[in-house]
Amino acid sequence: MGLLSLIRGLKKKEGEARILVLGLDNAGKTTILKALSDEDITTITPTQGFNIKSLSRDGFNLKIWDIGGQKSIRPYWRNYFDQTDALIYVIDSADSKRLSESEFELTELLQEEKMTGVPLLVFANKQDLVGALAADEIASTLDLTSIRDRPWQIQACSAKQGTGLKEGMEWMMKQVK
Amino acid sequence: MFGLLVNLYKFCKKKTERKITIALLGLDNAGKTTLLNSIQGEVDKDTTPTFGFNSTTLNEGKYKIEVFDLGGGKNIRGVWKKYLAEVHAIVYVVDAADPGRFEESKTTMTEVLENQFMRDKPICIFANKQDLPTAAPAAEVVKGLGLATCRNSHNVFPCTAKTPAGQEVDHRLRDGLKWLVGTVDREFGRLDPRVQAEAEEVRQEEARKKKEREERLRKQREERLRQQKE
Ligand SMILES: Nc1nc2c(ncn2[C@@H]2O[C@H](COP(=O)(O)OP(=O)(O)OP(=O)(O)O)[C@@H](O)[C@H]2O)c(=O)[nH]1
Ligand SMILES: Nc1nc2c(ncn2[C@@H]2O[C@H](COP(=O)(O)OP(=O)(O)OP(=O)(O)O)[C@@H](O)[C@H]2O)c(=O)[nH]1
Ligand SMILES: [Mg+2]
Ligand SMILES: [Mg+2]
Repeated sequence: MGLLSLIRGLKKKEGEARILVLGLDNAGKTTILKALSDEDITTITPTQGFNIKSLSRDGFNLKIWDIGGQKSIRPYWRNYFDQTDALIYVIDSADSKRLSESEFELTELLQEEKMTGVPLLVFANKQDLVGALAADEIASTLDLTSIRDRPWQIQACSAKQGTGLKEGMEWMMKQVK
Repeated sequence: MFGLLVNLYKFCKKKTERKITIALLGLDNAGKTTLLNSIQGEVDKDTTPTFGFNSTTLNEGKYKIEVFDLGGGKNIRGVWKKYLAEVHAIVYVVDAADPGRFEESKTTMTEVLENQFMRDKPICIFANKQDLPTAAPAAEVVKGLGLATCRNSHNVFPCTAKTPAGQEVDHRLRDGLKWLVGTVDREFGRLDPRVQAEAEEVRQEEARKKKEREERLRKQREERLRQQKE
């Protein structure tokens, strides 16, 4: 897929962009990042701390932070909020039982002062599974439609099949100023 | 003395400046995002399909217009209704070069106009992509959308939102916006208080529902903790 080629689409030609990837455990955050980098996605285990993906091209540096989403780790999310250029929030679209938990965590995140105005990309992941909810249902259930102070985009995707990932990242790159 | 004058100027400006909100609607691929970029002079920007929300502020006379650009795709149109209470007017974009979708566009627009919050709110329709050879003229778009029976104040502007390299932005984009703002302006005294009140009502209702969901979640958690202990 080539994450590197995405840097070319950036407005800002040099410097650094910091992207934060958050969401409940088991949402598929790590799988998405591996799939975007054409890495093996068959042996992924829950993230205990964080993974960082760093890419450079033509004097531009892109850093993507993938943080573990287990309940016990969530209090540490705030350690990563500084200077975030865009937030990627991943949800398991087939796990409707946990949508309200996902909404709760997202609401808290967006209220953080350091997250003021930061563009939000929601990956509605696992669209390959039966019962996966559609984008507008998720947008309403997560209460994205109440957001007025930042741009947001919801992208249906399947990390397993590699669909929708590139489109989502392209939108996000356009927001990084 | 100068400072005093500046303050006086600011005071007068505040008194005369007015804020309105509009939503940019229409099917996917109609050209909404392109139109918004063009009208701001950003003519060489590429767009990707919108599956969400972006807000921009435009100026027109004494009006500051907050524009909500929303996605028109089948799977995202469902969110439009969440924004209708707080808008003063609608801009509706149609791909005039794609008559095969006029029926879908008509159904979608009709559903918007039937929403309880849309009563008496004006709608500006852009018959976009007039640069394409298959583009239908305004009269056909009027027919295709069934505007003859539309009770909201409306007007149709043929236009080309995508500005070719080296050319000026199509002035008809501004013309449409001017018409819409003028129409809102004539009704502002009645429309604005209603919009503010209805928007506030919806906000409170949404906040209440959200609280309920949080409460339910908290109870579920407590229940689970108790079961774990037993
Ligand atoms: N069917 C399906 N399964 C997926 C998809 N993406 C991820 N998974 C699976 O979901 C599980 C969790 O994936 P992870 O990438 O570890 O999730 P995570 O969000 O990083 O989880 P934490 O690190 O615990 O926060 C794994 O078993 C993945 O194989 C998808 O698109 N479809
Ligand atoms: N020829 C021509 N193409 C146009 C015109 N306006 C927009 N387009 C093209 O139509 C496509 C869709 O434009 P967008 O502005 O992204 O459409 P949209 O209405 O925002 O679509 P969604 O975000 O999916 O709802 C793009 O490829 C534009 O370049 C126009 O006036 N003429
Ligand atoms: Mg992980
Ligand atoms: Mg768009």
